[in-house]
Order: sequence, then C-alpha cells, then structure tokens
Amino acid sequence: MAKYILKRILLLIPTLLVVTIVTFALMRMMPGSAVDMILNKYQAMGFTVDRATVLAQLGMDKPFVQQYFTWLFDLLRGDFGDSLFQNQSVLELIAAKMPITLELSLFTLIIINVFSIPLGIITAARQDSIGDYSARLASIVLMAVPTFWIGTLVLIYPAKWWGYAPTITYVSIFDDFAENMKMFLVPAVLGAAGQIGMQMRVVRTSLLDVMRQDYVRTAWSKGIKERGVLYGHAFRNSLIPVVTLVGGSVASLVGGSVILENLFNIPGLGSCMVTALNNYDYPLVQGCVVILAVIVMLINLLVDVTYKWCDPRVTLE
Amino acid sequence: MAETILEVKHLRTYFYPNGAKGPELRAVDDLSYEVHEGECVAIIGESGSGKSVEALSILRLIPCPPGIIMGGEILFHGKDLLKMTDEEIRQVRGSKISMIFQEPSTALNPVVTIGKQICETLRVHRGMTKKEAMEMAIQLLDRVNIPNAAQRVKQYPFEFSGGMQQRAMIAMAMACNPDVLIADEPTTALDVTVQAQVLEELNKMRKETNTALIIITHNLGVVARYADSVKIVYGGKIVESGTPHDVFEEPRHPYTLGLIRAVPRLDLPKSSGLSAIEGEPPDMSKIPPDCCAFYSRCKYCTDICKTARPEERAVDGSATHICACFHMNQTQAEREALMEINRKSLEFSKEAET
Repeated sequence: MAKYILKRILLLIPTLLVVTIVTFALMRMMPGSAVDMILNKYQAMGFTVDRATVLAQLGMDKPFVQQYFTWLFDLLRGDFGDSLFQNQSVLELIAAKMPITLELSLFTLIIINVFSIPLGIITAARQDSIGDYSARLASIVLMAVPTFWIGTLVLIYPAKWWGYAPTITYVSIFDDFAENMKMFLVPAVLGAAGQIGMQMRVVRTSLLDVMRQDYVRTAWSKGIKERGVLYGHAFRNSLIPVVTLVGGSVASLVGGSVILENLFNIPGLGSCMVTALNNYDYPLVQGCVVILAVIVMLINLLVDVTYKWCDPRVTLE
Repeated sequence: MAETILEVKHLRTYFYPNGAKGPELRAVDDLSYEVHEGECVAIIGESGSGKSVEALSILRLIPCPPGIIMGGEILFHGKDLLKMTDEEIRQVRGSKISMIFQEPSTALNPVVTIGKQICETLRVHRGMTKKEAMEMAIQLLDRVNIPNAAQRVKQYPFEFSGGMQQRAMIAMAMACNPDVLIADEPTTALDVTVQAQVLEELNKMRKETNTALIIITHNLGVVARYADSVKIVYGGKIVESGTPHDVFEEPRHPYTLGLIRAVPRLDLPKSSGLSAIEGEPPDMSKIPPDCCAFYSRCKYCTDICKTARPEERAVDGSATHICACFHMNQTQAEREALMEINRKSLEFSKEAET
C-alpha cells in the first residue's frame, strides 16, 4: 500500500510537467497579452511608455522556450513569481484565497453527503413509494435549477421582505464563527443543491442494483433485519460509484465557484482566477493551475485508495 | 415414520413480469409435498421448471414485485409460514430453516469476511457476543473441513476456492442447527471433482444434526445416492414422486422416463448416442391452466391431456409412489425398454471389468 502511494506520487511529476507546458502554452496563445494591458493602463494614467521597455521588464523579450524554463526553474525553487497587477507574490495570493475556497468546499461537501446519501438509501429501500417519487422529482428540480438564478433570488427576496442580507465582508471562521457561517452557509447550500440531486440518484441506483444481488438474498435468508441487510451488506457494496462522484465534486469544488463567489462576495480562488485571466496575469493563472492540478491529482489518488477500502477485491498495483 | 415438520400445500407462486395487468407466469402451480424430520427430499426438474422459485417461496424470499405467492399453505411445525408477520418469518430464516444457494461466489458478500458472515447468523439468532460467535465460526469451518479455520475466518470470499466457498455457505447455513436446510442446486456451479466432497460434507452435517434436507437439483446421480424421497417437478407442479426406487426403477410419467433416458452414460457403447426430450421447457405464461403442462412434448398425448389437468394419483396402490399423468399405465413398454438398457449397461460394465 505505502509502496503504491509512493509510486503514484512519483508519477505526479511527469503529469505535472505536462500541466506546466500546456498551461504556459495556452496562456501565451491567448489573443491579446499582458503587455497590452499594462500599456493601456499607463496610457489611461497619461504616461507614454515604450512597449520594448515593458517587454524587457516582464522578461517577455526572450524566446518562449526560455521564458518557460525560467518559470519552471523558479517553480522548482518554490518561487511562483509575482502577480503582474496586484502587489503580491502568487504564493501569498493563493495562501490568502485557498483557505476560503477550501472552507466553502468543505461545507458544500458535508451538505451534499449529509443529504444525498440518506435520501438515496431511503428511496432505494422504499422503491416506487410516494417518498421515492417525490425525492426523485425534487432531485431533477435541484439539478435543473441554475445556481446563478436561485442565488440571485436568495439575495433579492429576503432583502426585500425582511430587510435581511448575508454578510459580505469576509471574517475568518476562527475569529467570528457566527459571522463566518452567515456568509458561507447559503452559498454552500446553493453549491450543494445540484450535486445533492445527482448524487442521491447515483446512491439510489447503485444500491438498487446491489439489492438485486445474490448475496443480499443470502443476507435475507439468514434472518437479518432490514437495517442490517441495508447497511451491513448492501451499502458498502454500492459505494464505488458514489466515491467516484464525491471525488469529482471535491475536484471541482476546490477550483472555487466563480458564480457563487461573485454573488456572495466571497474572496475565493474562483473569482481570483477569473480576474487574473481577464488581466492576462500570467504568473498568477499559471500558479493557480499548477496548485489545483496537484490537489486534483492527490484527490484522485485518495479515491483510488478508497476503492480498496470499499472492495477488498480491488488490487492497487 | 418420523414427524412431519414441513408441509407444502397447494403452493402457487406467480410472476407478473410486465406488471399486474400483463401476462402471468405460473412458476409454481399447485405444488404439494411433505418433509419429515431428518429426511432428505430431492426436487428434480429442468431449468425453468419452478423448483428454485418453490424453494424461495418457503422462506418468502420471492422478490415482490414481480413475484407473488398467490395461494396455498406452507406449514412448518403446523404453523403457516405464509401467514406469519415479517418479524416472525425473519426469526425462522437462518435459525429454523436455512438455505444454501447455487452460486457460492455470488451468494457470499464480497466485501465482508467469511468469519463475519458466519458470525452474523449466530449473533442475530443466538445473541452471541462477537468473540463467542467468532469462536463458533472457527469450529463450524473446521467441521466442514476447511483447513486453518482460525486464519481463514479473516479472509474474504474471493480468497476461497469455489468448493471452499460452498463449504463456508454450508457452515453458515448450519450455524444455528436448523430443522430444515434448503439447498438450491448446491453443486451446480462447482467443479465435478469438488461436487462429491461438498455433497458429502452436506450429508455429514445433516446426519449429525438430524436436519431435514431439501435438495434441489437436476443431477440424478446426487438424488439416487442421498435422497429418501424424490419429487419430479415439471411446469411448476409435481408430476411424479416416490422413493428413489419408485422413481428410478419404476418410473411412470413420460417426463421422468425422458429424464432418466437423457442421463449420459459412460458405461454404454458410444454408438448408443445421447437421447434428449423433444421440444423446449414450457413457457409458463403461454400454457393454459387446465391442461397437462407436458402435453406438447409427450408422445402419449391425447385429447384429454389438452383439456384437463391430471391429478396426482397413487401408482398401483403404492403408499409412496405418486404420479400425475392420464396415461401412466401406458408407459410400461418404454419403462421396460429403459430398464433393459440399464441391465445391459450393467452387464457391459461387468464385461469391461473382466
């Protein structure tokens, strides 16, 4: 097991190298450039600056390959460079945004699982009951409703009716738990909604499939109570597709949600990256992508190891 | 005769694969028999004859929908299993009546250790602690001749061979010393070499605890060796029943005759070839209820077979031998020919020996 994990971690290196190449190439292939942005800015302020000066300042007068390797070797030394437009280093910026996004991700993830797994189990155990039909209908609604729409409604109507608005200045959870919750709870619920619908259906389908298996019939024939059959025999066997799905949600959550962060004024990684992209802030975008790539790959590793726990027949090689 | 412990009376289990309004499939249709204490009853029939459904009906394990037990009684020590509440039947399952399934590799939970799966029955019905149950599980595995039982309990089913899996199943089913053990084709999925061992194990356990065994099979060799009583099932109904001698030496029903003739024999000259029953197993949803299910494949078939259902009648006043066929007294010639073949084969094998 330890050997397998070590091997997987070593395998991250070549993958990561490809990530850096692709990100770097894509950023430079974008129409427009950071240089234009900077020149425009100076122009707006009334300065006339030579294009070549800016290029030389950013190190962009050198060939692409050289630029790439300069960036890569800096990365290897732990230097992610400085943001072009914010007077901070990329690492400082990520260190500031990441905890916020991680907190939101964690809450969202908890909400997804707290609702979708029990609902999936109940609807599978009571297949074709009224409860099953209503939960399935609700899940479709949850999946269909766009986040930006429901998010806007949630902002507008409570304000209109009760004069309530969520907190819009970020406070760390360690400083003021209540204020922090006021800010994060609503976006976490909204972010979870669609995924709850989807995951509930996956839990239900997977469990129904398992309930038809011979070993579940064996469990019944042994005189085990329904609870024991469901949790002791069926549930763990139905987990593999669920684990895959949870892994996917985590991967997409840690990237941050642009819509929710903008709606609720959460200073997270998602809006940070979008701003950086609009500004052609090369070092910031590239830095974020590399960090996220590492996180996603580690999550995939975790998912694979979890498979082994779910099903001892899985061999990790 | 020993006490009757299980009595199946006019059991009817139907399936509605296309919902309540769709065509019904009469998997078990008016089936009756008795099981006595310590007896080994063999239920024989080809695939789709309803024998497995009948077995599952006893413990009410028919998936519903699409299946439903339409009528009849299953008396266990005089109490109707079909009228019990869910909780009452649950207490019978695994403790008084237990079951072994066809395919041990799918009938055991792949993600739970063998030991835990055996313990479960003991903990549910005997209220044992984890430790007591585990010790008992090791003893049980030992009794079914699994070497290194103490280590083996910690393993998962996929680490067992097919024969060992089925032995573990037997250990699990016998954990609470049930009165009745239902074995649904216990050796079908196993290697031929392992089949005999597993059956021997099953028979040994049964003898030790005086458990009645209902063995469902299409292996006539098994039956001839272990059974006290044989039931031939066709189209969800018993067509012939009796002692192994009644059924194998003096078969009356055309279907039984066909079955016996269809057994491949290594001891006959190759030229004699293989014989099969013409036609296909009946599609139970297409056969009208008031006719003999076998008529379309039967060479003795007359008009009455297509319009009425043959009743089970005693053969020549025998107390054990029962047959449900209008023409059971006309099959004599075929029976004698068949027995002649058997005699010849006996001579043939004797010649081969000398």
